[in-house]
Amino acid sequence: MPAPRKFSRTPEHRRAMLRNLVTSLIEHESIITTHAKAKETQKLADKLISLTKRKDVKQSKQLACADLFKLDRTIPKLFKVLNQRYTNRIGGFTRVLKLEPRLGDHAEQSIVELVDGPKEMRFWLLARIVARLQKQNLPIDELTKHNVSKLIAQRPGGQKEFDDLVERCKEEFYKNPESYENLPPPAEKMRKPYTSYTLKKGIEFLQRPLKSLKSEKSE
Amino acid sequence: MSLSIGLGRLSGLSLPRLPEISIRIPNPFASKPSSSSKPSSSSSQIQSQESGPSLRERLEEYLSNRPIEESFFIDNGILKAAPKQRVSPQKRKQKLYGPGSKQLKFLHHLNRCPSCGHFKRAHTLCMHCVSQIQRVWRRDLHAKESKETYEQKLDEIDRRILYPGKVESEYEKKLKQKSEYVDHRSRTLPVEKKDK
Repeated sequence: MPAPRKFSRTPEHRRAMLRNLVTSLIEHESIITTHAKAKETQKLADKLISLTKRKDVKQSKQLACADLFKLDRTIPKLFKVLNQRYTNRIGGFTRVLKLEPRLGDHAEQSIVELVDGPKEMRFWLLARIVARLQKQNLPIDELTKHNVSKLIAQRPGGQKEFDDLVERCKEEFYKNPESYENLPPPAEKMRKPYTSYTLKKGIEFLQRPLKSLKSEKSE
Repeated sequence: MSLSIGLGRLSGLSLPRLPEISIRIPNPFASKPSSSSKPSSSSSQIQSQESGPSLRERLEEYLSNRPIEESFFIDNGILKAAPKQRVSPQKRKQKLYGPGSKQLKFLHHLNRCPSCGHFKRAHTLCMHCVSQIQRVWRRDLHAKESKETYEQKLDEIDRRILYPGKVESEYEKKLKQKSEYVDHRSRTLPVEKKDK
């Protein structure tokens, strides 16, 4: 296990910083910070959510209070909303997505978000891709289908929510025909055949999508 | 200096006092007086008893006639470190532009954003699409929060009486032009079609 980051701060300062970050993550569902802070926040948030799954609720509430601020808002949300949302999940309650470096100091930025939440960037981006493909009258490629099925699987009423979001994305982002003029072909053609793509976890959702492409090329 | 100390010593002997009082300005390079046991208040005691030009006048006189002291560090035989020669253009360029780490690098890890079709770094999100989505979130939030306030319902005349014109400070004026001086992330280039 790697050593926890110190962030050039005293222990009290570091703890307060992480408490602040986790508090705003629970409050707003998604935050943007530097990549290192994002990773530490993810760790702490995952710990806190798995705390809520313990049998002794009173004790776990006491423990959670030590790592949070704004207790009157965060504790009820953690133990009612988030606990209910992640009943089927064992771990992986949060997701870190890398962004471009920050403009002023060129620091690596990333998004930390709660999975299956209302502000899930991954979900929105995928809906955007599907919306664009539908606008272009292109078939939805296997990889996108696979990604969508992965995101929807644990969400209650996920399919309907996704379809609604696709319709909304069409209105928000692809209203003019100019907006999808210079758009890429389906993802299968963009991708090099079978590089850096392994499907260990997702086999149950789909039979290896790109293998057929590779065999076609070799023939 | 020696005069004032001498005066102090003489005062006990009831000799006729001398009117002249010297003003002491510490000189770091002058030799220290041999006996410093005498109290410093002796000169001020004498000052109060004497009638003559005041301290202020004497100070002004002193300052106007002060001799110009030469700096210790000029022409004292000690040399300080300095470059022996100017750096030649060749060496300067070698230092500034030679190392590979200081040169611009090619970005080979580029992808195409699947939703907008422009270039983006591999393993990162497209900032254009992300910011567009965030803008939608922000709009949703404002739509949820904003309710019709009491001020909005007010009559036009009432509003003008209650809230007379506000004077903008320089800072507030500058804040309004924020978009001019704050850096913006430019959008990445679109992928051009290759002619084959």
